[in-house]
Amino acid sequence: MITACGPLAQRYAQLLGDCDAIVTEPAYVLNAYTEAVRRHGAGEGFYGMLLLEESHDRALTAFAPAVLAQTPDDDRRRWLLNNVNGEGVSINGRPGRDVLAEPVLTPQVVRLASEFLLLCPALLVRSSMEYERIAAALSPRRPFEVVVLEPPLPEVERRAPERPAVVIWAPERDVNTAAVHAFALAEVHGAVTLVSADGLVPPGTRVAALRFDDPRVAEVLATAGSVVLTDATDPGAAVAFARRGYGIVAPVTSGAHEFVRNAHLYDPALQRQLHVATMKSLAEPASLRALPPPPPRSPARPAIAAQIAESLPPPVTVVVPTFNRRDDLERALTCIGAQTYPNVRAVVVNDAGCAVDDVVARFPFARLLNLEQNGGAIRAVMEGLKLVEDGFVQFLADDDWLFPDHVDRLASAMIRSGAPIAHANALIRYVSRTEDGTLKTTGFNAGIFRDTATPAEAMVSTAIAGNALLWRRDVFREIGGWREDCGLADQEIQLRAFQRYAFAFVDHVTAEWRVHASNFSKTADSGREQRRVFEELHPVHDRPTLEQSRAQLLEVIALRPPGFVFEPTFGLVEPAEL
Amino acid sequence: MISAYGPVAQRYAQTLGDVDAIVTDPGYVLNAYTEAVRRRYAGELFYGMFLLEENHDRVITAFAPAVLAGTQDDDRRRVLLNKVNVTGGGVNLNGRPGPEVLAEPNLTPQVVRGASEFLNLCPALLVRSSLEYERISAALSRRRPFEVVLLEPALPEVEQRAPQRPAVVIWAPERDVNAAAFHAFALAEVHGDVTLVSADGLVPPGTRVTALRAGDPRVAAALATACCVVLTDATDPGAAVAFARRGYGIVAPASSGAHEFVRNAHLYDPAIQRQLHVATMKSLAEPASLRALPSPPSRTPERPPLPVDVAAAPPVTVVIPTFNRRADIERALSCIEAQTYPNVRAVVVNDAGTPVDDIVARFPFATLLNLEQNGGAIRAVMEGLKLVEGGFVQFLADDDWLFPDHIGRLATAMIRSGAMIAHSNVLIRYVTRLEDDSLETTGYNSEVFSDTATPSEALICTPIAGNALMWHRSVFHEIGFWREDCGLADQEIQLRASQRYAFVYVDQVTAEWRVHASNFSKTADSLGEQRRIYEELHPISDRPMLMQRRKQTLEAIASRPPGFVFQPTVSMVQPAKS
Repeated sequence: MITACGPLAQRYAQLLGDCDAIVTEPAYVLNAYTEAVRRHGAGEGFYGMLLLEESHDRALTAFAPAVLAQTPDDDRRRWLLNNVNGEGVSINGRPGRDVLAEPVLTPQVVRLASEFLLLCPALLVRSSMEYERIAAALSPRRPFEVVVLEPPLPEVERRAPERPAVVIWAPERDVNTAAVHAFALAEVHGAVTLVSADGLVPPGTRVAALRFDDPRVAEVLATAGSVVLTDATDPGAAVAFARRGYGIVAPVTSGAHEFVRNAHLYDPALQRQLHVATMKSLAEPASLRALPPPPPRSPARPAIAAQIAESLPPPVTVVVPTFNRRDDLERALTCIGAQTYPNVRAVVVNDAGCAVDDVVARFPFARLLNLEQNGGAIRAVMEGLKLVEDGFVQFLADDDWLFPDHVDRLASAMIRSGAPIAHANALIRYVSRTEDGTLKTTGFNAGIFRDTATPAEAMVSTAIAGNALLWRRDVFREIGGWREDCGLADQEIQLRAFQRYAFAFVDHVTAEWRVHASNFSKTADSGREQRRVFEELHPVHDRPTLEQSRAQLLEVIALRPPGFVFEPTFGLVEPAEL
Repeated sequence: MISAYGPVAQRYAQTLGDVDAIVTDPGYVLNAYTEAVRRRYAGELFYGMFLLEENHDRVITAFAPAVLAGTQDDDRRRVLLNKVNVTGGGVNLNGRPGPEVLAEPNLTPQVVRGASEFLNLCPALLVRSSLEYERISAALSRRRPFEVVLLEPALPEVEQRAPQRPAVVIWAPERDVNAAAFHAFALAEVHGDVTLVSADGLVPPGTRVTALRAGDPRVAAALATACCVVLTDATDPGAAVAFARRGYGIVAPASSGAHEFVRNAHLYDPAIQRQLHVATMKSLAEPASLRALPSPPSRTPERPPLPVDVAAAPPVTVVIPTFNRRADIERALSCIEAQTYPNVRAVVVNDAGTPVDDIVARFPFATLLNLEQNGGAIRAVMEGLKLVEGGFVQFLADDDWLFPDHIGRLATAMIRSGAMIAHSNVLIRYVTRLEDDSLETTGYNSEVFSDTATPSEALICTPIAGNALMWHRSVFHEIGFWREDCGLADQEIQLRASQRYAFVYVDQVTAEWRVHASNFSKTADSLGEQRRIYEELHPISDRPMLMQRRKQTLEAIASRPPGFVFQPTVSMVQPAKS
């Protein structure tokens, strides 16, 4: 299924066909983000497709009509359009070079789009060039597939041309956004036809213009020697025209040359390149390289653990401490029951709260340990761990959540690598508990728990959520368990584990860590606890660089307000309180 | 046939197989250049392969051993190796900011010029990835047609076994203990087996890897339990493909382009040590797999096919004026005889010099016109043209030269586009006439005549050699002919023609323009002639920017020494005159 966010995305959705994907324009990335979260929760694999504009094309498209209107002197127009990226041309009072180099996204969109990419199991891109451009604009590199989407073209019976004829193919552009291309070919002695969305002739140019759906388009294409493509990010039309043997001129950023042999390239910021590329394209037809096969309907996932292990893979036991939260426990067991890994068990440790025997009894893979005395989550976890003899162990607070592929991905990573620990990324979901015990989502953040740590970094802090980890059982026999007396117990045990074990890193979001509005203020005094970890539990003496990093972290924590919690990247819309 | 220049090139030559190519390291590009000229002269088509180093890798490879030797403190080493590309508070290399050193072009201006002209001489390039194509295009400011070629190295036979603990192999069979130091150190914190496979099998000081020489039988044992392989070649994705085929996790430099061929390749920038560690922890989690690989390129670059049946190919007549140079006219006729185009004729116009009837008679496609009175080359050409009734016309001085595909390429461009004029690029060959009338080559330049001109630019000057042009016969009916009274007759007629006709541009070197050492001083008074074109023959009054550029051109010509000629890029070694 395809979810398309934005008008351009909707156009692509129609070309993509049968495919699980979320397609979005930068401005609509919030919608894409929430849809990505929804699909993760449902255990659906999907591609993300981010339709990022190219900055030269964007700036020139906006700038060219003003240049053409500014002076009737074609020489001067050409000079201006050829020197935007050089010395001497200002756009709105700023040097043209700065405007061209300006990122096309605001910092807020960069952050949201980066987190959206993190949530995508894989990306669809239209070329390797597009992949590199997205990777440069947004920090995480994601797995990707290249998809070539050829638009339908009019049926044309080609004839030998009497004179040079060129078609500028701009069916999505209007008289303004096609102006730079029309003007750049003003000096071509031959027939130049602009096929655009409105069929208007850009002022100051000499092209013939046709609307894309005009029947005369086919006639023009019949004798054209080459086609000038205008889409700076999509090579699809170049492929479609190359298949028909036209000479091809395309923006270098479109990546057309990855698929089309003898595509002649231009930078939209250099009007002369477009003219020269056109004169080259008249000389020879383009041809197709071997095109990438269509990607699978959903992103390929590594072989699941069952296929790696020769028989039933090692058991994974999820230890769930619970205390007086029957609804939460039921939800937690539900997400464990939905795991795709074939050998999952659960141990529920009731920390002397209200009885949950009936709840646990409904989940045959789960057993219940009732503690007689309330002792806190860590002690409950350690009691539960005693019931686990071997295999792998996962810990899960009763109000957190695992996506269906979580255990499978992590166990697979451990089985294939021999690593005793693996971890993934976690999404923070901000929730409020409503009166009927259900949870209402108030926001998300995928940018906090999205990295791993090196052993040296773990001496300072880690960016790994407690429920994003899977452990081999025997790790705890070697390094002990969580410290009950430590307010930063997750971080403290990770510190110890990192000094001894490789953490295989599954760079996918597979779990949710839930932050409750109601317990913000209950946060422990993390400054004091952090200092204790650094100074009492794990002091370092002979590593000045680390000591400095630790001192800096303590300063940062000291500046945080009481009850600090990382803010959501975006909060859902709430009515303002009266 | 493959010609390889430089040690890296020779290694590649062995894996390329049956292909026509010139492979060169940057340091050997002048050898590649002269071989390219030889092959073009012989009418051979071939690929060029330019093994350009990648900057980040080059700098870090040189810099890392000094960092490791400079301090015993691993934390500090890591900080230094992570901050080379950080602006402000970063790292200095030899007193200069790291980012500056990393961004520095790795070729001298002289090599850039030689390499750029070498590329120009290559009908097409072989590149190892799209990223390499972009890198070469950016470094040499020239885009050529290209094919992607994938060269998988031979790997040891290995029976893979399930690992007991994480095991990583750093694959650096071409690197020695210094050049592999960065990679070995970057994985110093991995809890598991890290084996460096290198050229010398030595352990880089300050690291904790196990090192094996490539070829050591224990390499197979290390690969048997390894879960992932870290590739070190920053420009070649071949080994990544070979290991991905065997199901290893893959870590590769981003600049290698491995991700274009390998799904789930985890990438690192060699300037950032942490990325290499993190990518390795990711690669433990999942195996890589292969995308659809490009098919091997054809043995030689493809040439555009003739767009009509051979029987319908319009005649091309080459008009050659000659005067007292019997050896030259014989050479010129033999290069016409060698043309691959199926319908070539020649008209030799003897400008009242020594008889050449016996020579012309040996070339059945040639007609001889003997003029009774010597009138100069232009008048001779004009008389010859009277004998041409239709088709296309090419003009050739008796001492110039056409490569065998010249007429075929230009005629093809004209037929398929309907253009009346086409041109290509021309190599300048600097020659000295020896006593026996043979020519000795003293140098080359393939830069001067390697561009086209727009109609506006042609009002100033054109970079198109006279013998690079092919004309439809009817053009001369319309615009007249060369002016006998103009010392810059080629430029003057191009100026006129460009105002009316499209010049289709074949961006291939297909001809030679020969500069004789003996006639440097005979060069006409080009300043006076240029001024005459601008002021008397083709004045412009309403185009201020063009008038300004004309003025600048006159100033530039005035500042040239007498007898000025463009200097060769490549000069043959000559004994110093005693």
